[in-house]
Amino acid sequence: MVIRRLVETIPVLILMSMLVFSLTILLPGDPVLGMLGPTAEIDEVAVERLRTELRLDDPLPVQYLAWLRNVVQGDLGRSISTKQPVADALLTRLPVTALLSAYALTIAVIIAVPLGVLAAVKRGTAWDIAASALSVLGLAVPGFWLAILMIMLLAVNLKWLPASGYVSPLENPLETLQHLFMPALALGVASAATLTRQLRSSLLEVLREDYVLTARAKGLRGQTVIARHALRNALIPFVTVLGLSLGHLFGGSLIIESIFLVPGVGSLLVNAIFTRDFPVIQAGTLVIALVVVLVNLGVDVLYGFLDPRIA
Amino acid sequence: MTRDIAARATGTTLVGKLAERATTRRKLLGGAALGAAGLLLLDPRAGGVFAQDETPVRGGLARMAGFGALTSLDPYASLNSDCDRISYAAIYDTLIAMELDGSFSPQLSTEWTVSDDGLTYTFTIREGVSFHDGTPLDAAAVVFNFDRYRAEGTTYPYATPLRPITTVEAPDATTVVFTLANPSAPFLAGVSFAPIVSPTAVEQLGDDFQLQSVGSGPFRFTEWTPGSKATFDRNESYWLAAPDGQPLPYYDQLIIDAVPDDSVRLLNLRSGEFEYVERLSIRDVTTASADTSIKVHPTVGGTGYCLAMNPNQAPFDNKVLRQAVQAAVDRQSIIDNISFGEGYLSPLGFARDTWFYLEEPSPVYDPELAKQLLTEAGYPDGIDVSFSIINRPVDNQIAQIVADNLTEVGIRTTIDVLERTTWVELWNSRQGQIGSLIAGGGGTDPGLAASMYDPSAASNFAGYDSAPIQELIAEQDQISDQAERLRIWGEIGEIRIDDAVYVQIGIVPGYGASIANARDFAVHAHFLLEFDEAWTAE
Amino acid sequence: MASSTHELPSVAGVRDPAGTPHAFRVRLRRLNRDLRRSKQAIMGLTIVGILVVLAAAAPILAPADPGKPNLSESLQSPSLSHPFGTDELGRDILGRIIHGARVSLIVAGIAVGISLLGGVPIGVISGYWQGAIGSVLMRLMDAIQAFPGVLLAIAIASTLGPGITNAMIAIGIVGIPTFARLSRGEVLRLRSVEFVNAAISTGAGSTRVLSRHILPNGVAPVIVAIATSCAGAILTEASLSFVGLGAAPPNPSWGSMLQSGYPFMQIAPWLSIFPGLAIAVTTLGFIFLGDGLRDILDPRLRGR
Repeated sequence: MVIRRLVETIPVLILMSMLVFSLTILLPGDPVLGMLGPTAEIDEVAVERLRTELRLDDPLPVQYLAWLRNVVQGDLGRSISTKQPVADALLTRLPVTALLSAYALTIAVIIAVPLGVLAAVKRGTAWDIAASALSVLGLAVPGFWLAILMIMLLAVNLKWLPASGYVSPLENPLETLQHLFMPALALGVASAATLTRQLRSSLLEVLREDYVLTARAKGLRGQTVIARHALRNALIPFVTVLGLSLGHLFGGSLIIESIFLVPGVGSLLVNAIFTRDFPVIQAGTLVIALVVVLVNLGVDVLYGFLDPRIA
Repeated sequence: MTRDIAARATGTTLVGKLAERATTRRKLLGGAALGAAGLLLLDPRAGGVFAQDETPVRGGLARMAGFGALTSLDPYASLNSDCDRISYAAIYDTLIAMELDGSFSPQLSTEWTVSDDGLTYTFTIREGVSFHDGTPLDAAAVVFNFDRYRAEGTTYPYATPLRPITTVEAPDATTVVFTLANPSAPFLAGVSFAPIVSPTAVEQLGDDFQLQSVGSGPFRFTEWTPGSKATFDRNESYWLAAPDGQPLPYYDQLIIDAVPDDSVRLLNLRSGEFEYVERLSIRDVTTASADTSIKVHPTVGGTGYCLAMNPNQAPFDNKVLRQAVQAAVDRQSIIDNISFGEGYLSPLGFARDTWFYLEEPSPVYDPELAKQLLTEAGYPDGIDVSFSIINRPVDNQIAQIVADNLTEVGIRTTIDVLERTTWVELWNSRQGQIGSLIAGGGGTDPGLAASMYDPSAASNFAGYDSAPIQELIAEQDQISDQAERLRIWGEIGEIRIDDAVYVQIGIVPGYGASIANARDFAVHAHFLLEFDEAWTAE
Repeated sequence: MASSTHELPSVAGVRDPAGTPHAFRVRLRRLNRDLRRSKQAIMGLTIVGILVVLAAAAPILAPADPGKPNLSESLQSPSLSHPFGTDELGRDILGRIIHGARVSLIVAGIAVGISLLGGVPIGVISGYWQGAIGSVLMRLMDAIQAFPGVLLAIAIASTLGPGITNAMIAIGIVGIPTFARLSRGEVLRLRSVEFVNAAISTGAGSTRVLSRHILPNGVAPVIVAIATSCAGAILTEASLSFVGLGAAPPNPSWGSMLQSGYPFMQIAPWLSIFPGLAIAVTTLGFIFLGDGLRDILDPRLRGR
């Protein structure tokens, strides 16, 4: 089954790579001009040489296949602005974004579980309304606005946290947590909201299921019922949403990373898009998409394992 | 006969007098003696510290935040020389160093002479200096560097002042002779900008020389990941010694990082992430000066903002239309708004604290005149134009005010916000109409402003081609009398205003900042910081 | 051919055969009653309603030109004459926020419209005539959806160029897969329902089946999705404007107000606070509306 799912994602991946490739072809801005700079206007020979090297005059499908072949072999090209191999840049930055996403998700879970359980258990009461209101608020507030507010309050006014930057956990894990707290929170709030709502609704659904009612009828105390039966089963869809959130956090961190100067894939991509750094755009978008697809695949498989009712 | 100009030129301005001191290389006590006069010494924001009574502390880390990330360790390939210079100043040396008053002091070259006809410069190279990889720094190495910088198709950003050179030769190991095609005042400035890199390293590393480099400077390259910070360790065998006899520098390690946002950069300084930051936003100078844990220092020069109109295509190929725009723009209000009153007008784009600052001639602000000129240009019912800017906060502000000014007189303006690459391409391909850019504000030599009037220069985005101005610039390049050069620049100013291709809005003064305990770092024109003699007090 | 007065039995998930005009009126009356019962829907409708009024009445409520600089009054903190303060060019922020409501509504409307017009046909085709084309189309939808929304929007808007039209197109494209999936799901669900089968077996053409039976019954989740997509569109537009890809200055889009206010955050925080608040409240309104509508229209989710 896992193999089947894996095979199913391949056409999607190929389509995604085509989308990425075509997007960068459509981006206005001549890559040759970008790479050679002002020399391009003087040195015809260099321009021609680069065009041939980059196969820019070949038909598009040929260019695409050549690019794909390189990608599969691990050659993701060199960045136009930094001249650094893109693969190297991605290798250093992927873990940072992964760390940030994991941090964000952890914060989201810490917020969502108590809130979601509370809302479901105390359904209809003021607690429920408050929790639901908070979760809607979390969805409605733009993450980068929250980021700005946090910087104003926590970094400028109270000086509790540093305004930006990144320290590697290998150097000083405590500082890493400090530096990443605000971006993780800004990112995590939206996920927390989604997770809360998800948990609440699946808990409610489970709580009405027959077997729970049976358990109650047998005399088990409310809390045991919740803990043993409801939560465990409600966790299945919760975990799947969790997994899907991770995928989206990973790529959705673009603006937050830029604001907080976190050297992750998001800020790399934002810069690359704006400076028309084609190799970086192509490779970066593809890698993010790959991660998202793989995570979704993993979630699918996990769901299959967790819920024996699904074949 | 040769004239010996090893000694410093006598400054004719107050700046020059303040800058005279007996040092073996350019050194300005942090914050002191900057710019025009003792006013700065009294200005609490100058934050100058006279460190003569304190003993420098050896060791420690200096972390510096610039505004732009390092683009390349190779000066030849630098894509953003304004940012990269700071790193180059740390790991490379130059032959001579430029003082604020325009004079030069020895560095790798102990003395130099120029022939009477101004065509031959002879530099004596200091003995016993080696690059960090052990290669001896001799005349041949210097020749290698200059040949590289001025080669055909060079990408070295400061190649313009080196253009008059016809040959560079090393008759012996400690002498380098430059032969020029014509006398040139900016030539020495050009030499003072040129970092000397190790020829062996260039040959061995090829393209990778951009990612790891070898120089002879007070700090040695250790590591750098593009897009991230650069780390430089102390050069144990630096050729310049401190007063205590041990080699400089005092710091063990220098880390250069980038924080693009002005306010965040300052925040990071205040929260202890850095010891030095450059380019404070003018918004933050007052708050920063009030914070006793840091000190703010002014620099000579600043950031210049300029309007450009494309004279190569309709509609702005019409000179009268350009003049209408020039008359319609309220430059004083704009510069006041973007600089919180700290900025100043400068029609030629020269920094205020230099010998070559000119306030006149200056265009007039007269909306009524603008309307008349508009009709005269053939647009009695107005015209629609497109104003293109790079996506930056100050440019955004300028654009909106200018658009309002222009719309008032009948020039209906739409604003196009573009990314830098797109904007550059638009203007390089001469498709732009009117736009705003950062230009001017430099404080080194007026001859270096020549690129703005040279249609083949990359930074001349409007493609302004004025033969009369180019002739005048060539003329003043060959004169060394400052008063005479100024007179010629006055003439250039007249032509520039008449042509109205570039309209300088003004200059916002530059400030940098450091922690209160930082000592003896050198602040040079145009935000450049140097750490050779810097240290941090306990 | 099914008789127009023939009442078919109710089937799970479908409360009424929507193919009859009478049934339609009944549904409308029920909708009205349900609408009044859901507090969320009311709140959502109120907020969105206020937004529409603000946008429409902007020239009356805030007669001053929101783009005109007034340099002498720049960066003033909130006061009686300027309840939300003034920005870096001296313009009244409250006035700009009111005018910005127009931008937000128009962007949301057109972007979601594009998603709708692009996504629903794709979903219907792929769900009804399940063939190779449908399969490929859905794979394409998967591919688009696999990209994080903001990333794709920025990439597309960057390709098309800055400006509000391109932003709308970008956001619209990003939202197509949502509607495609949704409509496909509904079509799949409904085409196997008894009365539809009956209709087909009695020879009803596809257009008839689709328009009389499937579409009216399947429209509910789409309506909910419209509301939620509007919320997402406003947030995405804010992100695009924040990085400079949305409305050009001096057009007062809330996102671009956040962008230009950001450098002044230490000395003039009100530039950053109010536009963000406006975005949050507006998005909130649409989410409430969406939630409320879902409560009303989709009986399977009742009781939550």
